[in-house]
Amino acid sequence: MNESNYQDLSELLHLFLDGELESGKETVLFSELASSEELRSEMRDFLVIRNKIRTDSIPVAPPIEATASVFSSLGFNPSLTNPNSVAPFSGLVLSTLKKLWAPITTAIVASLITYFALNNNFDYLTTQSYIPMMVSYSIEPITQDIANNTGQTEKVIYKYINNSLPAQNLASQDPINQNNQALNENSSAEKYFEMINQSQFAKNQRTSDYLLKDNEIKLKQISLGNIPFNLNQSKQPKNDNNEYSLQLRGINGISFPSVQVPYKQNTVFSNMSAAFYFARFGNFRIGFEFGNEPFGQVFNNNENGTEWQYTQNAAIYWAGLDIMYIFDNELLFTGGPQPFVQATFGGTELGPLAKFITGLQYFSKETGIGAIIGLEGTLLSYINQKVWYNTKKIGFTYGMSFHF
Amino acid sequence: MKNDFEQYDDVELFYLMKSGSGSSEQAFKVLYNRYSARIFSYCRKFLGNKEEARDVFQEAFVRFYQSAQEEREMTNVPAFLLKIARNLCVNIKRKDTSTLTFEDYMSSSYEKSDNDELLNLIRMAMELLPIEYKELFILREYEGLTYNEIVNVTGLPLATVKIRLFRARQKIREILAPYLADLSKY
Repeated sequence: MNESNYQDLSELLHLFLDGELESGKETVLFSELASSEELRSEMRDFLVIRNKIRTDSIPVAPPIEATASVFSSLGFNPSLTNPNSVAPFSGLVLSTLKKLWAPITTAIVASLITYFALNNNFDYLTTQSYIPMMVSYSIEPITQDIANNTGQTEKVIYKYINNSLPAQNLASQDPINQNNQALNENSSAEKYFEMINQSQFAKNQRTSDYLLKDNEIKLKQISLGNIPFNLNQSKQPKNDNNEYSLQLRGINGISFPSVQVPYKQNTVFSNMSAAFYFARFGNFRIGFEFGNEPFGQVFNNNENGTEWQYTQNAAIYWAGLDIMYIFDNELLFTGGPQPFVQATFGGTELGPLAKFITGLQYFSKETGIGAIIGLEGTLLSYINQKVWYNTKKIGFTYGMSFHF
Repeated sequence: MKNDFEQYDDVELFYLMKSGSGSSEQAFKVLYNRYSARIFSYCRKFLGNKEEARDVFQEAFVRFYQSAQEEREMTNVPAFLLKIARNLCVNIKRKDTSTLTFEDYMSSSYEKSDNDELLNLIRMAMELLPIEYKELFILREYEGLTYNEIVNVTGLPLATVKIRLFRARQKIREILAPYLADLSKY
């Protein structure tokens, strides 16, 4: 092949790569490509350059002053309040904001709610150092036992006194300490210890805690002394006892396989989900949820004997049944936000889908408003030409809920 | 009746711009919103200078609006905008007789991807192309125009477009040859 011939073939190659080569000349080009390493090398080089250029083709928004200048030159008002006048933020910035406004807004609101919720807890934890305040919530049954005047109960009281020594200076605010004081008017703590009916105690072969029966758990909590977490539980369970709740959350995840194809997003409802929880069984919640988010897909398709690989990033709607389990507060000693896990089983127009979320939720009983934040994993299965494919997504999620 | 200008296609908006009423301004704003980033990016790539690109960009949109007031048949609004911008860029380049050196390029305000060596080399190679090659390379590779659309924008004969585009690519391949050779080893 001489240089002139190669030049011609090279031109044919570029026309072909641009989609401008007449079909009659394709045969010539293909046969030369099969035999010429030089031509194949040129094709490879050009494809490398073209692919790289495509990563550099994102439009850059013009500067705001340029936009203002254009509009003022034409006597227009570049008012940002006009819904059609978004030019200063056009291009990449605008498209990015359009994609992210919902999750950003949700995240900010959720963060604010969580912040204030934690702030309340901070105040509450501070007050926990004042033992009498806690006692006022949980000791009432014990005072009744005191009234019953059982020896074992007295022993427990003695134990309690030992554990609450730091709070003795506040005893005047505390009903149980007031009782203790009343008892102490007649004798010391040691005296009451001596008053325990030792023979009865030995006969029963039981600890005094056990004998307290209904009060057992609360006493155990108290006997831990100043550890705030258990005592916090006695103040106000944060479990959401409301029967129904609505939840709106943003989803920010990445797909595996990862694809670089832009997706056609729904500007109103994209990368989001909405859920309605309609039943509650103990710590379980059952609900229905639907959402819209993109899933990267790579699959093969046989067309007339030729195997093609398709890559797409489809923004699709999904819907499913939610099963949520909310842990009790003491599990993580958070005092406020509660850990939860959730599984969603449902489907899409492409195939079945499952989601798994773990995170924290906070719920204010006063306002009915809650917030969640967590990690999410998703599995989408779909079938093409009798072959099943999977897309996995991982990411984080955050949102708000309203309980009623 | 559509009451949201975003729902109109380009050609409808272009003719609305001619109406001279309040909808004229609205139509222009929507078209500006759709294509300002693309036209500004084109000017940046063509001129390689942010200040010049901004001036040309502003002038292009002003002329675009004024041209809508004239009698003309419109079929492809973005191509028409590119044509205006391209003519302005060519005029600027014709007046500018200076030669861009490698040092000029490295110190220019053009945004570089420091972590992407090949992309920076492609940009540099593009700056080294003669302007008549560079403009066609940008229209084809960055703007994705077909040969006929390039003919429409530049007013050049189809054969000239083909041969200049081919030479532009050959030149860029020559400049990048050492790097591409290394790349093919891995």
